[in-house]
Amino acid sequence: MPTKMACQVCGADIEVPDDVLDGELISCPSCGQKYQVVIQNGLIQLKLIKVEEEDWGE
Amino acid sequence: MVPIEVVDFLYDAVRLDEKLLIKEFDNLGINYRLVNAEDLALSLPRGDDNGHLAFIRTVSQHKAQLLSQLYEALGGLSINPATSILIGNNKAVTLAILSRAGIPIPNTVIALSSNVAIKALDRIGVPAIVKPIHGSWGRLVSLAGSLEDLHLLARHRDSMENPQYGIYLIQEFIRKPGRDIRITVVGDRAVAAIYRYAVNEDWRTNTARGGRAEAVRVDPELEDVSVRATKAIGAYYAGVDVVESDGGYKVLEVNTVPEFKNVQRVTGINVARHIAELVLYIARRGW
Repeated sequence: MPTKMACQVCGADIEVPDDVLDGELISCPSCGQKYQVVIQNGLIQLKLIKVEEEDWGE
Repeated sequence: MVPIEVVDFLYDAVRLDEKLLIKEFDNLGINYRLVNAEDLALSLPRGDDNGHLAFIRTVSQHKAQLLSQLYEALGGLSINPATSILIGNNKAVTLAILSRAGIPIPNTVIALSSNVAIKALDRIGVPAIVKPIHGSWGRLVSLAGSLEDLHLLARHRDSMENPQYGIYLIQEFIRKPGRDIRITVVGDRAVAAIYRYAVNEDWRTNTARGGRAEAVRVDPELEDVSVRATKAIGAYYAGVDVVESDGGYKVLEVNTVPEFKNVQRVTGINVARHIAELVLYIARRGW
């Protein structure tokens, strides 16, 4: 069963699949806010990410 | 030669690209461990536990550079090699190396201050592309249609605190047919390529900016410039960005932790498989 978590921005449900990996990126299907999945001791949390503040690229 | 037993798959954020790679690592039976770079606490001295093989897939460019350098400094190997990641993350140095290797590139001026950038604009002419030397996904890339545009851009840049924005890479604007080409090179081959079309009135073509994509039939000239560009910077595999000009293909940049999900989706070619096979080959070849 996928875990349902509430978007911290718009409150919509975000489905987190069972095989989600630590560090995986997911987006809110409603508002598009991006999150990074953090799994610690089996506990899943969603960390808000602001891409423009990172030195991200390829 | 002693084969390398385990590959450290280093990541921070897991994109679709990393998921595709993990799947192919599993399919090929590669012995690897997933290492979240953000959980890493490296203790020194290491005693005998030194040489390891790192497969670097962090989205953070600084982490990619540091990790590849650390693995090599400890006597290990890095895919891609640290030198190639350092070069690939710097568009100015990349272009200098491509120039030396005789690979076609757009006319470019690198200026270390806004005053000099403004004076040097006439060497390129207008319109000109103005880019930071670092960065991805088309961020802070501007099109200067006139000297006034560059003056305005320089005023904005001067107010930014990050010193890297004091450095200008000014490049001729190739009147590309509204598209550029992303080629994924693995080893000696261009395994797949796509056209990336600009969206609406945006002249940038990065798929990270929503650009549409279409499969490319790789001709021998395109394969030649993209493979030579990858080898010139010392990478095992890369995403090479190329534009079509009246004078033939010109290489814009070489990405050393390349995203390839759009190339794979659009062409149907299993790019992740090719990359995983390369990693397996290097691990088996060993020390």
